[in-house]
Amino acid sequence: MKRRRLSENARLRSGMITLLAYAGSCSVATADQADVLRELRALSITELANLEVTSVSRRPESLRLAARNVFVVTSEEISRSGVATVPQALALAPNLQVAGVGAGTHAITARGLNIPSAASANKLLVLVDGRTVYTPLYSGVYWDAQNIPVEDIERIEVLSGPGGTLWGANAVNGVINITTKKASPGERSLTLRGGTFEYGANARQTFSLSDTAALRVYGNAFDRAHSETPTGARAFDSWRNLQTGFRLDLSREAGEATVQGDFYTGYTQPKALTAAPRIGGGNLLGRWVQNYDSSTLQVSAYYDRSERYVSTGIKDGLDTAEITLQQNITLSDTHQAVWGASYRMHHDRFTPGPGTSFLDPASHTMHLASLYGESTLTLNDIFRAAFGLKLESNSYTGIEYLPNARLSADLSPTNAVWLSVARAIRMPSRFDRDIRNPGIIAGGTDFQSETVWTYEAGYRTEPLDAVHLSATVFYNQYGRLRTVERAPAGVLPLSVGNGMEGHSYGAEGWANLGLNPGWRVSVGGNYLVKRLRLKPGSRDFFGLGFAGNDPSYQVSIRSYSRLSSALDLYVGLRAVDDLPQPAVADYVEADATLTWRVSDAISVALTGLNLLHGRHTEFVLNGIAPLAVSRSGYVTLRTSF
Amino acid sequence: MYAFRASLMSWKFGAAAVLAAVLLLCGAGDARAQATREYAIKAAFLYKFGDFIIWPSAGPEFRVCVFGHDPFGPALDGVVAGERVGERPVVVARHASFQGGEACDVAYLGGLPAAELRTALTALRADAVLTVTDEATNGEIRGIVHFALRQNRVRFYIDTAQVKENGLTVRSNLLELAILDQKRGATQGTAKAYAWKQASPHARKRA
Repeated sequence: MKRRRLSENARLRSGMITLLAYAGSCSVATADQADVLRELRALSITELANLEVTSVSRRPESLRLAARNVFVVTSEEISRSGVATVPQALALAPNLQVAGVGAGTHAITARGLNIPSAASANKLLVLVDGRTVYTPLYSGVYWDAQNIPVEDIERIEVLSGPGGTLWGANAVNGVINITTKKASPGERSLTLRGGTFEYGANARQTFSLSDTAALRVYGNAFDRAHSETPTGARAFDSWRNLQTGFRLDLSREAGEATVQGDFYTGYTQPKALTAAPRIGGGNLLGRWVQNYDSSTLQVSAYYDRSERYVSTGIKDGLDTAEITLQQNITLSDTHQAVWGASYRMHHDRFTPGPGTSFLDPASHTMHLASLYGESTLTLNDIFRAAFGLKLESNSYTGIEYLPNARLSADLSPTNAVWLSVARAIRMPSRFDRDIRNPGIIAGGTDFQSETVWTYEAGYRTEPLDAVHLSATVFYNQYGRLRTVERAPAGVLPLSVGNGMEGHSYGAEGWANLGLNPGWRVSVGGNYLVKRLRLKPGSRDFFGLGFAGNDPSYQVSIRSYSRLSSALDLYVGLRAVDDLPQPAVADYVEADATLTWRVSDAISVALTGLNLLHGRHTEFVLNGIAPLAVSRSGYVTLRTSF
Repeated sequence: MYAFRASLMSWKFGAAAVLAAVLLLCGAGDARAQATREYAIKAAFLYKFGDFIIWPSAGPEFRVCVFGHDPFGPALDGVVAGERVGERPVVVARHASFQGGEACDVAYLGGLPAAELRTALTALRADAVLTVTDEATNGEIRGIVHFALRQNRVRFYIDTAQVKENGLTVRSNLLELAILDQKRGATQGTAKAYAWKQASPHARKRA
């Protein structure tokens, strides 16, 4: 055991030496924009035409995100790091905790409370181009259904902390906003990926319909390899997915409009070919944006349908429709405001399997309506204050209030501190309210929304041109956390209640260091302490671990370097502390991608995942045999023409 | 667990030391005035057009001329340094005003005042020169290629009729990138229709 640690150290040290060697070339930092120009030279004419004119080195940030803890994963980082999946891309954000469970399954959260009873945290809100993708069945996200082609991702904003005032229910510990690229004429690419991780292909083409309209269509397919058990046996959970979609962008006088959609089907290959778990679905979204002299009006609507065959006989179908209206107004030089209203409907159809717990009623329609506003005032040269409130009504608990107040101070042009206090909720899911199996579990007829009051303080600085540092401390006061309660006398039937409360506190931070124009290093980490307890009178059955199985800290260091005009190297190292229950050992792992840009149109990348161990476990679900994440690799061939 | 923490500490300190050293050695970046990113991108376009346009004859060098005010500065020289169009090295020539008779393959006329620009465009008509103008400085006076910012990106119009008149041939993939101009298209043939005619049978099948 000790020897292995030592060899790990040796590997880390040799990695550091390599990094130091690149640092030797840092004299370039004082040259000029030569490297930017070299990058421009390396681009094809199509890529050139699709470059955004505003700088990519400055992380894009709008007023809406000021005084919040947001990390933005850019499309450049996604492409340089060679990631093939959305969860891999999310792992680039130091304020998220991303753990692999099986081939298609991930446990992803911010600030902890990654619940081990289902493969997803239930206090995280995930949006794809404004479309909510968590399932109201248990408030988690089916990550195996979120196969947005990485080629199409423009950026991923990861907000850690509550976002209820703008985003609504479930934005308790974080919000993930995935934004896809606008359709840009002339984009045409084919990506082939193959290796022990998966075999996959993506083809995309953009058609120019007129001076102002462009349509992108894509097709995406992959066959992801089985994961393994901790002893190396095949876990029979390989995952295949076929997906196609489109995005139509129209730019108009002082505005734009978008229509987009995706359609997919996926299935796994279990050992016994009985009722293979499979999924299918699609979505259609429209968005209309109009700019006026001092305001912007946005109307968006979408419809999303999904079907999931969980295992023998269990089927879960869901229809979601939502319409949102939002207006951003500049009232004066010192006063900006945003207000909006939205209405969402979830209609689900649950078919229970024989002998399993089931939902009563089997089909349910949930309505969610909200009205929100937020005002940002510039008080003087230094202070800015923002106040917002969302009133949201849901079918289960009626009207909920989600306020937020923030104060930020620009101490200097490159230094800012901010404070925030906010309340957020997770509204009841179908499982919380309606899970019933006679004599065993009697649902949670009185289950109320889980709540949090979050107090945050943050500091940001850009001491040098290409150096960004961000640090945040937070304190979460949780009320009414979910418990499964024993019957008043005896044990059965169980019921779902709000028997837990408590607090957590911690810190998050990262530094983006542009060491020279060809080399950037991102260092980040988070630290979490949970102090949860049962409320007096609770007859809790599962224990405090039911609320989340979280590492107390994780750290990462990621290096994006340009070795020559044709070679890029990405190296990422991460260390994650152990998990208490179910127990998972701490680990240090490394990923690397070497990209060779053969020509303007062709690049070849070699990616290695989890290079330091043959296999290791990152997360274990209650009652399910542990699975491991294996060392794997793949080659990505990308052609654009 | 403890072993893990210890190993973590050692490499964390190592990493901190490396980063500190690098920062100290390198110091802050250079604050020298630089061409905006927009013009750096346009500069790259100027010579990259060379791969998508066929000139009737070719000199030993691929000459990019900038007339009038030069918005590119050293960015243009930097981006073409060592680059070739076909076998021809790319060279940059700057001219304060348009006199006529300058040897150019690509002529960036964006920095000329309107009257001089019109003169230049008329004079270069029927010459084998790719004239380039810029919506940002020239408005609606257009050369063969007319840069325009669209959706925060540098795009361009291509006047396909003028291309022919100047004796040049445009490859279809460049036309696909161009902004389609329906208003002018009626008289000049839209870029799309032109692309159709020029495209290889293979490409046509795909379309």
